[in-house]
Amino acid sequence: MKITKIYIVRLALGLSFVLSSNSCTDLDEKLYDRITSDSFIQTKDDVIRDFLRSFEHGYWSIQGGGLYYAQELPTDELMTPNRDGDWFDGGLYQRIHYHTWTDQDNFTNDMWNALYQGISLATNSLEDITKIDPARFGLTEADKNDYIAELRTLRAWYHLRAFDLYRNIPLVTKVKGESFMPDQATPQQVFEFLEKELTESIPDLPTREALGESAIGRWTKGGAAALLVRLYLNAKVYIDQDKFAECAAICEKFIEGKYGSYMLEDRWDAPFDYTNATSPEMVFGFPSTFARTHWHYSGDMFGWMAPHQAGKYFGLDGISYNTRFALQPGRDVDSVEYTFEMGKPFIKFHKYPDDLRLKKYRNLGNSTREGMFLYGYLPYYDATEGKTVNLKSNRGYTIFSRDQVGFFKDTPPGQPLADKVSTMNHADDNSGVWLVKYPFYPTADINKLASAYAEIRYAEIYYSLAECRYRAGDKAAAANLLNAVRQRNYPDGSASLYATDGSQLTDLEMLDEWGREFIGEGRRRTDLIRWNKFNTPAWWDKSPDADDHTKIYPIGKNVRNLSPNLNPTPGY
Amino acid sequence: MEKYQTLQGLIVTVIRLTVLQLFIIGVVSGAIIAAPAPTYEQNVLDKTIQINSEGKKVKQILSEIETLVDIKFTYNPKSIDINSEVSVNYSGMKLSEVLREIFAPMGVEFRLAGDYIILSKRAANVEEAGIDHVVSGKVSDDEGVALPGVNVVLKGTSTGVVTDANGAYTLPIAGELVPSAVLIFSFIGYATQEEIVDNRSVIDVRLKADVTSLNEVIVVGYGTQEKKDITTTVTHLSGKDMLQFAGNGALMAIQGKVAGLTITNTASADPNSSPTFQLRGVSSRNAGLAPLFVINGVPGGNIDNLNQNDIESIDVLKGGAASAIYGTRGSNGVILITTKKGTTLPQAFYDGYVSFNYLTNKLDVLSRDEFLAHDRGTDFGGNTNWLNAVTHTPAVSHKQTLQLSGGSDLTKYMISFDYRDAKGVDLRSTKQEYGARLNLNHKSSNNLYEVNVTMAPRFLKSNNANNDAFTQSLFLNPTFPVYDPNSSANYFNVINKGGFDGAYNPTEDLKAVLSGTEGKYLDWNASFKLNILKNLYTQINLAQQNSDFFDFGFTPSTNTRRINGNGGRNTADRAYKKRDQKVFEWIGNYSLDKGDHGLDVMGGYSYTYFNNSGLNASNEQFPSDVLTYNNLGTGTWILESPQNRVGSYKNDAKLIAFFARANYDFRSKYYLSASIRREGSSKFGAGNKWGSFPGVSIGWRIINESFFPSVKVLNDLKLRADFGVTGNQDFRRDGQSEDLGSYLSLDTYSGYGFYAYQNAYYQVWGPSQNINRSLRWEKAENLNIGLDFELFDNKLSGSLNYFARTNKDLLGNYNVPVPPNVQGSTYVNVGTMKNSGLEIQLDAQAYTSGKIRYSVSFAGATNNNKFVSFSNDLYHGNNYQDMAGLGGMGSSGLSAQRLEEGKRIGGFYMLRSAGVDEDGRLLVYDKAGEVIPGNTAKADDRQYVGNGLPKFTASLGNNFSYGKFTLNVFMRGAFGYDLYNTTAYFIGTPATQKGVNVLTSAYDGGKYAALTNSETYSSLSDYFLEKGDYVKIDNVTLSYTFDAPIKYISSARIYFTGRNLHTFTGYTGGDPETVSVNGMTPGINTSLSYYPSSLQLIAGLQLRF
Repeated sequence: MKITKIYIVRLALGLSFVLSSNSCTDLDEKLYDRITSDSFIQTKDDVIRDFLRSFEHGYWSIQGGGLYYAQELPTDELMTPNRDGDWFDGGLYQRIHYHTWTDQDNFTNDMWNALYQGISLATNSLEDITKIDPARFGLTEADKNDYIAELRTLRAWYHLRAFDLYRNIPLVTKVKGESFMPDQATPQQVFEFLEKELTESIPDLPTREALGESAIGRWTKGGAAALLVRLYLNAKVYIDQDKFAECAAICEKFIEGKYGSYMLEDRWDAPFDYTNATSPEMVFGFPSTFARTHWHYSGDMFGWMAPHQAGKYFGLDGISYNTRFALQPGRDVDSVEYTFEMGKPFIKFHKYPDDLRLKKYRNLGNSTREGMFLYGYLPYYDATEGKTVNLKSNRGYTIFSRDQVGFFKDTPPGQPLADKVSTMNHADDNSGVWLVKYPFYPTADINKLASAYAEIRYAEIYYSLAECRYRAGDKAAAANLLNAVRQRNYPDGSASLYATDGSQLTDLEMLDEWGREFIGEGRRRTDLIRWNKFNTPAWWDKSPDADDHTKIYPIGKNVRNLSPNLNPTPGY
Repeated sequence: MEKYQTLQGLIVTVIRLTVLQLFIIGVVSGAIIAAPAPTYEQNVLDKTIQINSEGKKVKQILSEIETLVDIKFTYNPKSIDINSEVSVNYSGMKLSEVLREIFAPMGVEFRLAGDYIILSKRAANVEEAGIDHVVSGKVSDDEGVALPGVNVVLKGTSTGVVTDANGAYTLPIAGELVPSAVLIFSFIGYATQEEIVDNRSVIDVRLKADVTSLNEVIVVGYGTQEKKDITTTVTHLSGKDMLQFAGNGALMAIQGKVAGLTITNTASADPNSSPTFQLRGVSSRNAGLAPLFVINGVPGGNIDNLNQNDIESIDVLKGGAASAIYGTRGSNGVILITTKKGTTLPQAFYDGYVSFNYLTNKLDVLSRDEFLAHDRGTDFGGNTNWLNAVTHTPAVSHKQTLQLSGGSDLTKYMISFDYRDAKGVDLRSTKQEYGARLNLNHKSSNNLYEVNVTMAPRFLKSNNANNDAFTQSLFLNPTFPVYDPNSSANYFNVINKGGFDGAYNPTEDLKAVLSGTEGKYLDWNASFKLNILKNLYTQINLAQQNSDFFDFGFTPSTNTRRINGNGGRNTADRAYKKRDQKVFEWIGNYSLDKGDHGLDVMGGYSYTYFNNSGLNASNEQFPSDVLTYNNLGTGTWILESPQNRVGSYKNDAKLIAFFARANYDFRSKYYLSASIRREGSSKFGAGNKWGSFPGVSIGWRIINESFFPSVKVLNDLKLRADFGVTGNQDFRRDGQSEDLGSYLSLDTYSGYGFYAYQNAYYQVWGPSQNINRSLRWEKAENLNIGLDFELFDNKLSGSLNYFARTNKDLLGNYNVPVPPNVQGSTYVNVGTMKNSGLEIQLDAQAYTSGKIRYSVSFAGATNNNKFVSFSNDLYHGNNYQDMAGLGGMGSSGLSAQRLEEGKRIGGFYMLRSAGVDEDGRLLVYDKAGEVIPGNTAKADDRQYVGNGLPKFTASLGNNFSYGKFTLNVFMRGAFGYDLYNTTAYFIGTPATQKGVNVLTSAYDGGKYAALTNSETYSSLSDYFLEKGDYVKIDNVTLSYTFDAPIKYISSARIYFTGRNLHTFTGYTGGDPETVSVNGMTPGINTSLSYYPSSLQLIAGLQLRF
């Protein structure tokens, strides 16, 4: 008995000793492959990694969440028809084409979240970097100010896109420790906020030439000024105030070199070629490599703007192609040109038939290309068959793509078709011409998929100023500005350049020319709305809308469910 | 006499130890035999005791003595009148003297046997004389297996012996044998049998298993209880209740056996597949749904490292109170697995089987001729049945198990070896594994301490199946040949020849592409138990589970996919994954049995540490295909095309708990049990790591009430009720199986993509997730009311349970506004879900007559589910979430189900079909009820059209035996639910795109054949919803037992099993069980990917020697 008592006492002592020691109740987490935010910034490189977080997201956001197709598919340029059962996707693309989307369509949530995640990440980095003592990391006060100015500009870029898409948006300047979505600001407040953010940032931003070879991907004085141009150009739409004069003023300063040194490229494809990261026409772009990221070649953008087997034609394997996006048709099944004015993008190019871009896209070797479109037969040399064959569709028929929509399949060109239906729900892979803006150089080409994504090109400043001049009645000035860019699209001495008096310029021609220069660059919706052509005119398989509530997208139902303080968008 | 027997037994033991056994024991324990030293027992009768009482019943006095000295009395109540009253007043007398005082007048003798004192009526007519007669024989069970340790007693006397290791006994009988002399054979778990001696000198006996289960030992958390004392909801299954099966996952052997436990394996013919488990319905939105497995007391046991033959018993804790002692991880129930222990008598057991898998419930597609006749695509000249081209049947597998056990009274061992070589019905999947399990128990001679050690290593090599190869085999053009007609050494290149995107030659993929893993498990645990007092002990448990997996993958340069898409570069990868779990537990237990009161108190501490880490690398363009994945550094691709092809990770987590439980019973009539577990998990927010998990249960054995009429038909009746709170912390980051779900409450930064800055690429870093400092336990409140009964001489037993479980603070990703958050979803505790149901479990000895016996068992469960709420004080959002997005085939992103507040999970939310128009287009109802073409419908037109969660599941087991033949027929079924026929939706109609093969349903004139128009091809509607109800003849086993067929073999049993023999169902999409009904999206496969159902035939042999 005595012995057992001793046991008990010893055990009790032992137990209480063990359990009272901290390690037995310690549940703190030890981190291995991640770092807590407050201990993250230790070196200059960490500052840079933090600074770049939202930039990386920004590149993704050019195409993610439906942000690309929301700018293209409701317009008169691109289409995603139901191709023999592919791309029906519950009718989503047809609703976008017919302007019948609702706030239950997921892209109305996804776009919002994509943009506001970028805004939140930029703000988070801003808050991190505002706190640091630059000297501790071998940085100067100017470096820190540069980072802050670039992040503010980046955030303004996201805000401006959200403003354009949704109009009634909240403004975000703080995220750490916040628990609610801020209330929506009025358009006027948003406009003033963006004006202020951009104007205030410009002095601290670097110039393109100061950054030199590594300017790509950075916000510069020119980048911020170009965002001001976008803001003023569309001010009538955004806040019902005419700001074309302000817009023109910025453009003039821009062309005078006040925001840095820029030049127009003299080759039409140079702004999209692998050298474009250092192009003087690049105002803001996202750096890209084959090995790392190249979002504009993804399935939400140009990667799926080609037939499935296009890799054989391009000689470039390793990326996927699909027939998701193509140009809307200019002709009916019987090849008769449609009578409506809008749309018909391929025909609009053909208005100036010597346009170099009209050539069929072809790789010429040594990182060079010609042409901007895929149409007709697409021949390639098939090594296993030992001869040149025409590209086939995934369904087995030979590709002969045309500026028409219908069920062509193996029907040779010119042969009449009994089935005259040409709608968004009735297409095959031969329906519509494909756009190749960025080159698909072959596998062996060291510069394959190496083009940076051009978000803002210097040409936009010319076109914006031209529009301001046109609207001010100065057609000659407008024509000269447009020709400055356009001359590279035509052979020397081409009659396709506008007469210097600008007499050819009309509203429709202005809009068509915006379309030709910037086709597929994710701005058509904005341009149509600014020219008030988004809702009323008809184009292919699209009748005029009953009203214009679709000029802005509804804030998605899921987004509003999560933030009940957001008001529903009128009209939906 | 008995002493003599023991010694003899010991000698036999030593002789029978084989050299191998000696070696094993020698190596493991260093001690082969420890001789018993029963000095303690000898002295019991000499102990002095003090006892006094007036007019007590003998019964009470015995019970008091039992508590005073550590001894138990055993007697036949019919021969001893324990209710007679005696007045006792003894002080300072030896126990032997006390007993003599009490029993001498009653003509009762007593003698000591081990821990027992046996009381027996003195036989008046047996003279104390020399031995005149010797009876010997052998005792075996009803299957002919020798039973050691059976008591053989001459009726009415104290003359008796115990059978030896071979079940043999020799009983010398003194005096003249009376004509009515009877031998009584008794053994725990078997019905006592009497045999008239009738001058026979050899009497062989077969004992029948006792039908009553009241004394079955049920394993509960941190202890055991007898079934009659259980107050919570537990289903006990012994080894012999398990189904014979050949495949992965030892617990498939109890599929359908436990009411309310759904075990599903949608690919059971894949040798590497694992079943999923779900108890009493889905319990969590995003955290784990699997029950907690406890193997030999180690929580979080690894069921992949378990040989079915090693399982002694399985106890499924269903009620909340039972699980609450493991509260932290008990929300999905607890399954306690006990492996076989050593026996004092050496035994060897061998089980070997070979199994054959055949395809069944096939999905039929068009043949080459039909394909061409229906103008489905180009004729490429071949004639291939692609399903045949990716399968080989029968797929033959075999498994061998050898178990050896033995030891002494103090040291026992059980060692098991197994080897399995399994092949899937597809051309690639295989699994070869071998493992061992050693169980060693050692007790000190003075009973002061006990040591238990288990070690279970296992090694395996697997080649993975590729479910997508079956998808390809469904839709590939049957005119494609398998091999290139121009060069038969090459596979036919199916790419870019029409059909769906991503088509490839599946035969080539299975035969020429390598994908698999080399793995090992090392699980061990050890416990040390110190018996401080007879009724007080403390125990320390240590356990570790360690696994390493080294995955490999290789695609050669000749692969048609690589040639078409990747310039013919070969590619290889390796991934090393390491998991480790360590457990330390310290418990103490005190029990008291005082008169009418029984008390058992247990308390303890538990510490578990999880640690996962890994490494992966890949490369392309190796100089030779011969290198396969073995020389990643020779690949030149990452140099030519700089990119990140390496990665590594590491994360850990901790669980710490304090727990206590008290069981109390009064007169074996009223039972009360209460427990509490206070547990903390490192994974939760700083102030929310700890949670409390109480459980309380009460039981009332009505049968023991004096007012209860002693109805002959009723043998036992017990009413139970329990309530418990259980938790769940089994979550991980989305889709990351190697992630422990740590750090989700913290403000952490991680690396994302790369971005150029000053001509250098930087990996950008930013917030890993939205911070949720209030991340806390998901909790379930479980209420259970149950009734246990035994009727008609224990011939019918069963239980009936009603349960209601409310899961609160459901863990999961929850959509949150951006901003203020940086990510669109946060891992939070939001939402409440309710499950309730009725479960019935019945076992009946339906018919017994002579050699014929028939027993039947039934398990059935209903399930009501309701997703109560989707928000709380902190998080408001959608009151619904769209689930089960269907991918691929031109209709990506459409979700088929909706999870909504107030609704049952598994609700199909899609368009309601209204037939087919004359153009072959699907018509649907819009939200106003108008009939419109399917392609013009909008998201708002969707509605609830069915539900994929079965309302009722049931199983029926039949056991016939005739002599040495036994036949088991086991059937299962699920009722009251819908299945989405995903295959028909994608490739079951004529509208399916050309170039793609289709199911025969597209042209059979039936409902799917009517959908000819491609315009409504991908309209997601209830047109493809079918009743899922099925009844399956799941398992039929016929066996025959031979008596000692040859020398050295004590018994042999051969068995033949057929599994998945036939399914009765109206569902046309193949085997309804290839669609899972577990989880949050029951009733739908979201892609064509599947593994075909198989019929399995098994032939096996079991030997004991």
